[in-house]
Amino acid sequence: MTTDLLTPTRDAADRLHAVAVRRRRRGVLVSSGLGLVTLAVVALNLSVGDLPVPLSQVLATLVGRGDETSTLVLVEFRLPRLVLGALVGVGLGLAGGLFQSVLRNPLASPDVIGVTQGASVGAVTGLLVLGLSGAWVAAAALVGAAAVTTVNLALAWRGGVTGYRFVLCGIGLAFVATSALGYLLTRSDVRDAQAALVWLSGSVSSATWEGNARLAVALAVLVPAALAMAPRLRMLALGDDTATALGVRAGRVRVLALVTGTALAAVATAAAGPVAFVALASAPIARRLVGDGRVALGSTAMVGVTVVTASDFVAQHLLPGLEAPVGIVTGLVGGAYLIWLLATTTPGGAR
Amino acid sequence: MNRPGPPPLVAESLTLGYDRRQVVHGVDLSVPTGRVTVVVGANGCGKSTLLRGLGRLLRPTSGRVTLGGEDIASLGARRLASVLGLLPQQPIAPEGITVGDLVGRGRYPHQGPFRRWTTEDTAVVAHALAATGTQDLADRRMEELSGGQRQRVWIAMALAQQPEVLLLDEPTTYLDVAHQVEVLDLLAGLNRERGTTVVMVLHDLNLAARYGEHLVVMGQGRVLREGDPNDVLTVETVREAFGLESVVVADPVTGGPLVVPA
Repeated sequence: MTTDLLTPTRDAADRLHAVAVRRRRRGVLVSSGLGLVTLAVVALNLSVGDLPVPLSQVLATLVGRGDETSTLVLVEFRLPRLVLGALVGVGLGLAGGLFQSVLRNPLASPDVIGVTQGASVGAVTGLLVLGLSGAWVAAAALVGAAAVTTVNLALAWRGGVTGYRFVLCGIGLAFVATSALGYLLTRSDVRDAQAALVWLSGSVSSATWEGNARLAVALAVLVPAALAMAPRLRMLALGDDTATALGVRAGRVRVLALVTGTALAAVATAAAGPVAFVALASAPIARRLVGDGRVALGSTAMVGVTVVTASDFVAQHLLPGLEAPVGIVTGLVGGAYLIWLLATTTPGGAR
Repeated sequence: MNRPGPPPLVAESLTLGYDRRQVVHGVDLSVPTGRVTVVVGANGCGKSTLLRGLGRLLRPTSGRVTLGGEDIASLGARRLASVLGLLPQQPIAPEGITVGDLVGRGRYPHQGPFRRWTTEDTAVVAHALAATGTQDLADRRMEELSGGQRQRVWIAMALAQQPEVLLLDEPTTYLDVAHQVEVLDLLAGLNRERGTTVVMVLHDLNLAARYGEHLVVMGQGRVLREGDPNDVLTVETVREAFGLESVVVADPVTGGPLVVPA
């Protein structure tokens, strides 16, 4: 079976080429599919509402030629909300993708291993105890998330981070944070607690252009950093030993990815509250769409955008009764997804 | 064909361990350049640990490993990987990965932030697939393959890395005897045709004697004996390393030593 090592092998090269072409085609297909779905969701979000804006007016407004009412409705209310949803989707989707890839565990998402809960404790402490508002609440959320990841790294450190220990410690920390949250809420005034609860269910309804700008600036740094890690993450998927043997500093890449993922989840959560399950579900959905064991961070971000904006549409217009925070819908969708994931995953298949 | 041989791989008073448990105690070893070295020894004797230390998967507690005279701990990760390859005992294949993609990842050390995939990479991967007889599997998923096919694909990945020194940790585990011989023939061919230095840990003494030009016998974290299998593989060595009484006869096929438990 051993052929001469130096024999030209056109056949193998042709096959490789065919595989690459097929994969590229699928990548283009997935991206354009996701793009179309997102576009449709965007159009629906902007057009539908108490004051319907026809699509022609939406387009006119976007290029600066809309009538006064449409401009007011879109620029002041619908666009900031939509943009916040999209940015949050990117942040949470990528954060989940980084965590799951680097910890090799489909449950290793910032909302399972305490990052989101840490951000919540920070924000609620800011709201209820320190009386903060606006950007300072976001800052408090960042501090909370950073604290949880730092403690988790310290607890899980054994000359390096192992995925499984980090995930278990993180689940423990998530419970601790949830308890702290319960304590903060019960000891505070009912009206204040009500305000905190709105934040805690994850909502994009109070979006402002200032808040969006802050989040966009943070993402402008973090998203390229995350995407630049993709080649190394792809190698890390082969296991630490193989990755090291192929020239990747596994330990360093893992810590870098955990820090970047924490920052992404933290800034998104700081802006909109803990929008449930987006981080957990986006990367596996993207991987399934792309379908050949790649990290697929770009598609993951697109799935995140689609999930949040579509869920927000459902939350605003399709739920019976009142308009709900987007986190309620993503929680429902994500919970169902999680059950399905656990029910269909074969033991050992999730390595 | 007048190219310089692979850089020599040398362990100097190499001590290795996990946490506080020391496994390898001050080993000095000069790996013969351009030849096939096989490391054998009883379970838990530290042979895999030694291999991990040689392949910088494990940082030495003390001592050092040099490649071409330079401490491997001071070499850049990618630069080192383009010369020194290591195939772990149980590499992990990401779910859904295709054979072509997996073998292609062996090219990582030869790429950089500004050097992307080239036709040369494709050619190297194609060669690696052909050399391991896996070219027909290029578009298959790893989980669809048999154990023997999978092992050949992993070796193809290591070949695509084009290392001058290749370390392998029990490359024949979980393979039936025919596939074991197939994989070892492949590695011997690689050594013969490219002059690659091969170091592997094997369990089967007789295969070790047949394929190893240089045999390293380990016991309790130390090198007990090393040299030509004909000289090294004796009744005394087997007793000392494995605590097993045996008879060593001439292999009817190669004439080399054949260990038969007594």
